[in-house]
Order: sequence, then structure tokens, then C-alpha cells
Amino acid sequence: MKYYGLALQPMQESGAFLLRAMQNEEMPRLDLLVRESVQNALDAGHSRSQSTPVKVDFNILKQATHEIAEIFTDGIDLDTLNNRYPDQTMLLEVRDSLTEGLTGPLTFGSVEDDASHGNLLKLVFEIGRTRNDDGAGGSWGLGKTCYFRMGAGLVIYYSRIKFRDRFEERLVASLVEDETRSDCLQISSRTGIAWWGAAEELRPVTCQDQIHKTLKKLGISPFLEEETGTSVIIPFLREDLLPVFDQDHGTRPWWYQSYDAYIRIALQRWFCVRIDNRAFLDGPYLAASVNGAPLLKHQMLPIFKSTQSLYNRVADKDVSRHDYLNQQGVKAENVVRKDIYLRNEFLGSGSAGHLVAALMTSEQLGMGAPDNIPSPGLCIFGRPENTTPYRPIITFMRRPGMNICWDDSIDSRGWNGGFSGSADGLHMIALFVPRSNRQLLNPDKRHLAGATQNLEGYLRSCERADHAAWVDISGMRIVEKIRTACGKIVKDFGLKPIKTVSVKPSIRMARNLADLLLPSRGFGADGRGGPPASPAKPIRTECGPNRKSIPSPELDIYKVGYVEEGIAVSWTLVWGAIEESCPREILLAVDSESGPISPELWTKNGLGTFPFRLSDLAFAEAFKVDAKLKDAASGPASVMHMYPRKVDDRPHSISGHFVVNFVTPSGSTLRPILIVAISKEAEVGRE
Amino acid sequence: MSSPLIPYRTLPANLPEDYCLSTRYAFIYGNDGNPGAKKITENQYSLGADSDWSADTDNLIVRCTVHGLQELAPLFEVGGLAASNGELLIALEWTSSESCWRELSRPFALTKSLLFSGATAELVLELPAGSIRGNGLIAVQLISGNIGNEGLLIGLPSKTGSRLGQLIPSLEIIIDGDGSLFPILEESLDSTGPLWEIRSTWSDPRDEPFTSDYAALILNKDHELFDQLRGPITDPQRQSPLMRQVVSSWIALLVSQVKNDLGADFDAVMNHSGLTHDFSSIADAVAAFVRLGELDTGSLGALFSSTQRWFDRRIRDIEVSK
Repeated sequence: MKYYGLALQPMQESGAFLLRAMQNEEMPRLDLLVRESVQNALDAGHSRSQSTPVKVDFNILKQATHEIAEIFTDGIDLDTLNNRYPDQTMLLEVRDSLTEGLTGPLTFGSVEDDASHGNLLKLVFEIGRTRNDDGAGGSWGLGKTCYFRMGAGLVIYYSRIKFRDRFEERLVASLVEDETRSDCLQISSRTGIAWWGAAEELRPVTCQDQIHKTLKKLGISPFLEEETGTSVIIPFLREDLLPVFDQDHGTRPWWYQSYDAYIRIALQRWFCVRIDNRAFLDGPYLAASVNGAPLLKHQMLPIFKSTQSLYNRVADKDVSRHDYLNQQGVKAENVVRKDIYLRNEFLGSGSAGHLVAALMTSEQLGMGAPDNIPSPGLCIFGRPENTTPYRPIITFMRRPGMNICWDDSIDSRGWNGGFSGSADGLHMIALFVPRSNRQLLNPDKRHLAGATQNLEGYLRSCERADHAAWVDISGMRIVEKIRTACGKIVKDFGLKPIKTVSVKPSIRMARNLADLLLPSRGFGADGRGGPPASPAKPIRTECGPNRKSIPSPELDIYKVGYVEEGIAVSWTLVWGAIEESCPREILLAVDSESGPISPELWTKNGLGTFPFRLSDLAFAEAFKVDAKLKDAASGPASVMHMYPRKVDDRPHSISGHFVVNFVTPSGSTLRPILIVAISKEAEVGRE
Repeated sequence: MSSPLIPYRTLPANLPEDYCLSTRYAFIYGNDGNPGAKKITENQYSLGADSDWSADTDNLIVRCTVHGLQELAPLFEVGGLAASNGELLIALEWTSSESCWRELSRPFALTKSLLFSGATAELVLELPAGSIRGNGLIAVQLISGNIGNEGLLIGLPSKTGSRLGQLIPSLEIIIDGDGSLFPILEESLDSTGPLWEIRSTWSDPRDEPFTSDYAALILNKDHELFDQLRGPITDPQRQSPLMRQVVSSWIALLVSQVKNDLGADFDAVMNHSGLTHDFSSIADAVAAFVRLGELDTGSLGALFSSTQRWFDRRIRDIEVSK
């Protein structure tokens, strides 16, 4: 492969800079590697559907130094290489398959205008470019720098993609080393950065024969048949990648004894909700393996199985009986699932996400015989916790399903709300999962970039390159509000209610002290000062529709008298301007709590004879209208229609009189109601 | 548009426009407790002034004495609401849309002969504890009793218990408003427990209301000094010296906790004038304390001192104004 060293130019990053770019020295490097590589794989497999896998295999092998050196004869100081890595070296392959691979253009020159640069250019040739898709795990384009910190700085990228119904393979290598080191691998470089690729220009090798020969020297199998994916190969793996285990913490757990064991636990620590979990909500599940041994759900440590079980409760309150918490007999009252509501942050209603938490015994976490699993604190933080109360442990994540971090702080403003642990020796495990699609309120006014219109985008923008925390953007409080709300729930759930006390509000003291020390209104809901101040009414502006309503017909009853078995009613009907040419009607109905019962409805419901009847109709000015009483479906007359006598001369109002007769005994106990309306009868049947 | 008709005659029927009944209301709770009724306007009362009465835990008994019943004599004549030998009933009625509740008192029977005997009607309505909220109306309702059979009966209700209308304007009773309450609770914390403690269960003092659910002064009823917290029986409004110390210490602690919680945001919250939310938060209350009392939040010691000075000053102001 041909060597392409990066020349020093203005604003040019150097190898030493890139190796520090992640600015995360506290997280073990193998954890960083697992987080970054699996996240990349999941991003490349995001288009696959739920319940299908994305495969990620971690393979650690030994390889002779001279075999690898043969690939990089151009540009490498072989003496230095052999001095630093005599004989053989460890090599790590992180291989994802069932993913799309390193797609896209091979060179920047072939990128059309604003088209996507593709996975290949982004991973191999770009640094610090942000991603636009909210659901992606990465965002800063700096995570890949962790690969260079695992070994000598040399990373080989091999990929097989499907392009226009045919398969294409790509192989390229890059080196990022501290250019200030005295034993640099490159013969001459002022930046410490270089690539190896095709002979013609700086681009990946695409010749399959050449690629397979190179892979053979590395001991890596090529992708075959229909397989697509990416293999990130890190030769010259450092031998000090396992974190130091403090001897004061007791016996070193098994996963501190080999890289493959540690990677198996790191996978669980960061991707427990997605490993072998077909119920994962936002895409394919993760099918991981280490040195060929698959990592299955039932093989995970209990703390991580419990966390996955909590996650599955976010999606569905009714989980299967095979669910871990159910299997362990965790009681329903020891599990809580609550919405997290924030005020004044989102458009529309709904929560910001769900918090699910469980209180579990040490036995339910497998800590007793015969399993004797280490405590959750040791599995997660590498420090055991053997005395009660056990600190609560909470984690949270975005859509990709990677735990952002684990938090066991007992700070009152932290994720656990100051809850210092269950008094009865239970372990609190909690998980927050945001509702990614919640739209933020006024993102423009809050000067948020385009990608942060929703909660997922906002939380992504709150992460640094290592994705290990959420820190609010200046002026925003969404993360803070989520954190305090989660803390309150954790604390309330963890603290047993106080049983013994009888609480009685000292209301007179409350009133007198408030009169003495507080503004008279606004700090309570007491009525002693009178009704609450009415809210300011909105000021109606001149703009906008302010139409006058067109008057409907109206009935004014100006006199009611009582006669034998009836009510004498004197009335005036105002014709109204709506549909002036249509006749008007006065309908007699029975008033009820559910609204007027018309004669038709009365009959239809089998209530017998309609209890009222109109009679003795008279008009003060009879020449204005023609009127007709109409029977209700062979019952008593209950509707009066009025037609203007002259079509083009509708009366403004008509005064008249009629009697509402009680036809049945129930009539004197029911309440009649008169309804005036525009008649739909037109002039049909007019005499 | 619809117009209901009433199938029988109702008030005012043949009563003259200027008829006038005289009424007197009294409010009590329990055996003889004073719920602190205070007249706000002509027909509006609030409850709770300098009282232990609470709608949640105490009943409310409304007594109404009606004088001048002879004014109702026309109701037993032609055009009235009962025959001359009939009977009408009056009762107190409580209605409240906010309580979703309606209640009638035991009725008082009126006959024509009674009206001229100089009798007064005594109406008593008891509203159980925990049943009333918001506000409600008290009205004296007229209801048909035995209609009688003498004279012209046309237009009279055919059934006993028919509503005939309201004799006098309603009285509005305010139960809930936006009056401030100090979050103080009494609990049994055992005789060996502390005399008082602060309970702070807020997650963010800016987001939770200043109520005893989130921030409370808890007084231990079992403590030997508990009785010394109350003022003298003759003047329960007066704060005992011990109570002054307790309350001022509690306020200082509250301010201090909120200051620690808010960190750098504390000053911004304190300088914020006016309430913008639909409730007053714990931070708003602390801001009010600091502002009204001119509390010195520079150090815990200064805060305790300035809070005590403020409390004493307020007591002196109140006593002078009395």
C-alpha cells in the first residue's frame, strides 16, 4: 500500500492533538473503544428494522510483527517498528456485519456539491465533522480518535459494501501518532498523521486480490457471499489497556484478567438494553460476540439484565414472564414507571420521557450463593459496595440505546435526588429514556441550531465528544429539569412513607403566620381574603375577524298566565336576518337534563302520548303572516309554522298568543320548552 | 333559541315588589367553633379569618333566622302559590358548581295563620367536612308543601316539593381563594423527637409550589414544649416567644437551603420581580422573605440574625397597629 503523509499546513491538526481530542482520560480505554465502535456499527445498521440484528464481533489475535510490517514498508521506519514490537503483537479486530459498510465516495474530489460524504470519508479521512441525523450515536466526529489510542496509532479499515447490485471491497489504513515522540513509526512526518491506500491517489484500495492478500497477512477473514460490513483492525495493541484494579477493593474480578473478558463486560455496561433484545424500540438489536463467543441476554450480569428489563418496561408495561425482574420475583410495588413532565419546554402535551426504577434484593441480583456475582457497584464502577445502604444507580440514554453514563451520586441536585439508599438493604436501579420526538418550544427564540428542534437533537447537542454526560446548553434547563424530576421520583420511591405520624395542618397558625410574614395573596389557596384575583382578560385587538353575528329568530315571552290544565303564553317573535325568506317555526318540547325532547323523540322512545299541545293560536297583527299548527306524528299539535304573507315583505316581528295544554297528567309536572327555529318545511303544505 | 315554561306559578307570584324579609346568618363548626366568617360585600362572606376551621377537616353549619314572615301573606291568596289553607315550606339551600354539590336544610313549614303569629323561621344547614370547595351559594328557597283545597287552585303546583323560587338574594360563601398560607404542620414525632423540623421534599424550588407538600415547618405535638408554641388563649393571634424563634430559624434554614440548591442562580431569582407562573414557587416565597424582611443572605449567621430581627419587627408593627 502506498504511503501518504499529511503535510503541515495552516490550522492543521497534529497527531498529538488528535490523541487528546476526546478529552476523556477517566474512562478506561477499552470502554471508550467499545462505546465508539459499537455506536458506529449501530449507526451503519440503523436502516435495518426492529427485531433484526446488527452483528458486532470483537476478535483479539496474535500476529507476527514482520507480517504486518510487510504491508507498510512504504513510509514506516521498520527498525523502529521492530524495536517497539519485536516478534509478535496483539491485534484487535472490531467487525460489524449486517451493516451497510463504508459506503460513499472514495475521494473528496468525487463528492458532488452538497451530497453526503458517506461513511468512508467520514470515518477515515474526516475529523471533527458533526452528524446531522438526530438518531445517530455520534455527533462530534471525534470519537474515532479513540482507535488511535489503543495501539501504535495504526488503524486499518476494511469494508465490503453493496453498490448498484454488486459488491465492492475497500481497504485503507491510517496512522495517527504523537509527532513529538522520539520513536515515531513514520520516517519523516511533521504532523504524525498518514494514510496508506491505492497507488494512484489517496483513496482506499479496491482491488479484491490485493485486499485479500493484505487481510491474510493480518490474519483477518474477508467478508464473503452476501455479507457487507466494516472491519476496524488495530494492530500493535497496547498491553496496558485493562484498568488498574485497586487491591484495597478485594479480589480482582475475572473481567480484569483479559481483554476479551473485559470487553464482554464493557459491552454489557454500555449496551445492555440493546444486546440480544428483540424488544429494543428504535432499530435492530445488537448481536455481539467476543472471540467468536456470542454474548446472549441470559449470559449478562444480573445488574445489566435488570437494566434491560427496566428498558423493556418503558416500551410496554406488561412484560413477559421470562422478563428478568419477573423471573426473580421482584414485587410489583418494588417497580415504578413514571412519566417525567417538564413545564414550558415542549410544544403540545405529553411527557419528556419515562423513568423506570426497581428496588431489588442482593439475592435477586445474584449476589448470594451459588452465583456469588459481584455487587452492581463493582460491575459498573469497578468499586465494590458491601455495606448498606447501597447507593442508588441510575443510567439514561438516547435513541441509540447506549448508556450515556451510570450515576450513583447522592447529591441532592443529582439524578438520584439526594436519595442515599434504601434503609432495608435493597438496591435501587433506575433508567431514564427520553421521548425523542418531543418538539421543543420556541427553538428559534432560544437560538438552537436546526438539528435541535426536538428532544433527541437537543440531548445530542448536550453531549461532548465522549457522549458520557448531558450538560445543558447555556440558557437552557431541560437536562436540569429532567435530572431533578428523576431525582425526585427516585427519592420518593426509595424512601418508605412515614407511617407513625398523624399529620394535622395547623391552619390557624398557617393563616396568622402568613398574615405576618407573606404577601397576603399568592402563596396558597386560602379563601379567608375572598375569591382569587381574576386573571387579566386578554385585550382584544382591532385586527382579526370581528364579525357581527347575523341575528337568528328569537322568541320573547312577555306574559305567562295559568289556565285550567294549561299555560297561556303571550309572545313576540323577532323574525331575524338569517334565511329571511324561510318560514319560522315554534316547536313545543319537553325540557330534560339531557336537553329538549322533541315530540318525535318522545314517540320514538315509546314514552306514550306527548304531554303538551298547542291551541288557541292568535296573532296581534294577523295580516303579516300565515300560520299553521302541525301535529307531531299523529299526536297533539306541537309545532307552529309561520309564513310571511308577502314574499318580499317579511315582518320584523310578530306578536301572538297560544295556550300550552297539559294533555296528560304528567304534563303538569313536566316542564314545557318552546324552541324557535327556521323551518325546513319551506312552503310545503301551505294552505 | 329555546324558552322554558314553568307548568305552575312561581315567585314572585302576587308578592309586592317591595316585600322585605329580614335575615340573620350565623356560621359555626363543630360544637361551637368560629369558622372566621368575614363579610366582604353585601352578599359575600369569606371563611377562615383567624380560625382553625378548614373545609377539609371541619364541617360548616349555617344558621339563618328569617324575620317578618307576615310579608309572605299574599302567597296564600288568589294569584299566590298555595291555597289559603295550604302550606308552603322554606329551606336553606347550598349549591356549588365547584363542589359539584347541592344540599337542602330541613324545611320550615309556613301556614297563613303562622305568618301572623309573629314567629320567626330558624333554618339550619350542615355541610359535612371535606364536602365543600371553591365557593358556593346559600339561598332561602320556597317549596310547595300541602297545597290545600280552599279557593281557586289554578296555576298551583300539583306535587309537594315543587320548587317555587328564591325568597331573598343568595349569599356567596368563599371557601378557597388565593390567600397565603404558611406551610406549617403538626405531627406526632414522639416525645423524644425534636420540637420542630424542616421538611424539604422539593426537587427544584423554582418548579414546586410553596405548600406543605414540598416545604413545611413540622411541629412535634408530642414534645413537652409544644404547648409553649401557641399564643395565649386570650390572644391566639399573638406569637409566643418560642414560636418566634422556631419560625425565624425555619425561615433562615429554608432560605439557606434554597440558596444552596440554586447556586449561582440564587441572585437572579431573588432579583426577579413579579410572579410569572400560575403558582408561587418555593423560590418565589424565599424571594418574598428576603425582600420583605431585608434578610442578609451573606452568611448563615447573618441570615439567622436578620430573620429574627425581621420577625420581631413585624410583631411590633402589628401590635402598634392594633
